[in-house]
Amino acid sequence: MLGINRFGTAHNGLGDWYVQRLTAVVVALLLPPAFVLLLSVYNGTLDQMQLLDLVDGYIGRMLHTLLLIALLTHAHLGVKVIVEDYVHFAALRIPLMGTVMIGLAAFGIWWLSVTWAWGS
Amino acid sequence: MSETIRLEIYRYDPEGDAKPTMQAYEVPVLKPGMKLLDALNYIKWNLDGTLTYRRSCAEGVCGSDGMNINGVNGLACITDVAGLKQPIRVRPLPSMQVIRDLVVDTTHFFEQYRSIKPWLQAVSPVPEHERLQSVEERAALDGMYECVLCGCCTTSCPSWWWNGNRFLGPAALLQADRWIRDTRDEAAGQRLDALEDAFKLYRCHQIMNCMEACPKGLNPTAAINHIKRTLLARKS
Amino acid sequence: MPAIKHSEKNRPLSPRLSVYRWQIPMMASLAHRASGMVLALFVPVYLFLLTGLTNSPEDFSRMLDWMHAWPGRLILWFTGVALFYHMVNGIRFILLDAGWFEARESMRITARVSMGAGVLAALLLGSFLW
Repeated sequence: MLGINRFGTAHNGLGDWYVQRLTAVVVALLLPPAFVLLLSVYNGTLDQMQLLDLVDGYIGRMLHTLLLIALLTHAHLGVKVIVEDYVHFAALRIPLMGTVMIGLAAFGIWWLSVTWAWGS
Repeated sequence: MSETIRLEIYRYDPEGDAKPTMQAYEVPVLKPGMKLLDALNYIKWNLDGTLTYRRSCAEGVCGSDGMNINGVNGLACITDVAGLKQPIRVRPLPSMQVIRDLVVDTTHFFEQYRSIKPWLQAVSPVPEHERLQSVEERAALDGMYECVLCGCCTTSCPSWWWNGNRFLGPAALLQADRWIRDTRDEAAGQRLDALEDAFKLYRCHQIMNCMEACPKGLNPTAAINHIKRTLLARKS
Repeated sequence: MPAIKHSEKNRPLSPRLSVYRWQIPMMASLAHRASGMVLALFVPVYLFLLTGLTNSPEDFSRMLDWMHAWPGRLILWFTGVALFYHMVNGIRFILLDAGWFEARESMRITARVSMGAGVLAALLLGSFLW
């Protein structure tokens, strides 16, 4: 009896589960438009000036910022679940999850700097 | 009836040094509507007395003959031989310690069941009559009380395969939801407290093998989702 | 009885993933995970493209060439399909979380819908890119 419940309950998981779904909604709304933009550039519907007109305004930057926060949070929680599922050795799992988190945060900062440097 | 049924059955003998193997058998069609358990009984009683498996009621109520049948878990006693592709491959419930042949060690499974405290907890004094429920309150337990704890769902769950030491698994969580939904129970709060854990509860990723495996037609995935919703509603 | 003790320690684990028959909802769930991984890996590629496309006109045309070469096309196709599938199945998961389509049969049907949507996206995007 004691075997499985020795450490009790961690009282986490609900927050991650909820934020995963909240960010999913934001990503579902904002990522497809970004991908369509990419495809429009691909087949020549948009040239560079038209693309810049669309993304290089305050609204474009705001939406991009919102997207990257939601996307990276969503990706972090998703990868975390995968790591927790398959990496059972805590001394490996915990640093791995930390590395993923820091790595995604670094991408976020890079992305922010790219987005907000346009036109300057 | 000269037809025969071909089976391949997982064999493991703890006294020998040999690794588990699959052994082929041929069984005559004994009667219309023949169940897989009838075929296993025929082997044990007529062909090979060493074949070992659990069975008791033979009508899907005791939950002792759960096994992996052609890749999907089910109860041998209520599985029709007629619908199964041959050779029928019969293995023990997945991801369990095998004691012998189709008999697995269920200690951990029942320990997980016990950990959700599957009994009525109430602090209010015992009334003169039974603790009453309305028809609607009773109906909320439909789809949960029918569980016979055969273990088909829990041992079909990949999340439980990889993290069975921490994830409670579909059967225990369905039972947890059964007590959370029961209006006579006065410990729903503590029950939810005990479940709010990234591993105990949230390892469920809606793979739904449990729902596909359940021989009683229940839906543990839906029960787990209900627990998650209740936890969210309580917090926000 | 040392012999029995020995055998208890060496009890084999019954086979699991290698023998379990693939179910449609199981595939839908695994595909959700796989497509999510693909999309997470696409983040650096997206940044690389975005940086190039919004830089000098020479960078823009270089990016355009990269996208039209076969590795670029393949990456766009792969991530596009992953994105569409992950979105459709993600909506399915959220609806299930909210208590919709909870009947066993609905869970099976919606899994098929997600997979079908993924295949459809693969064909449509393929015809767009080639």
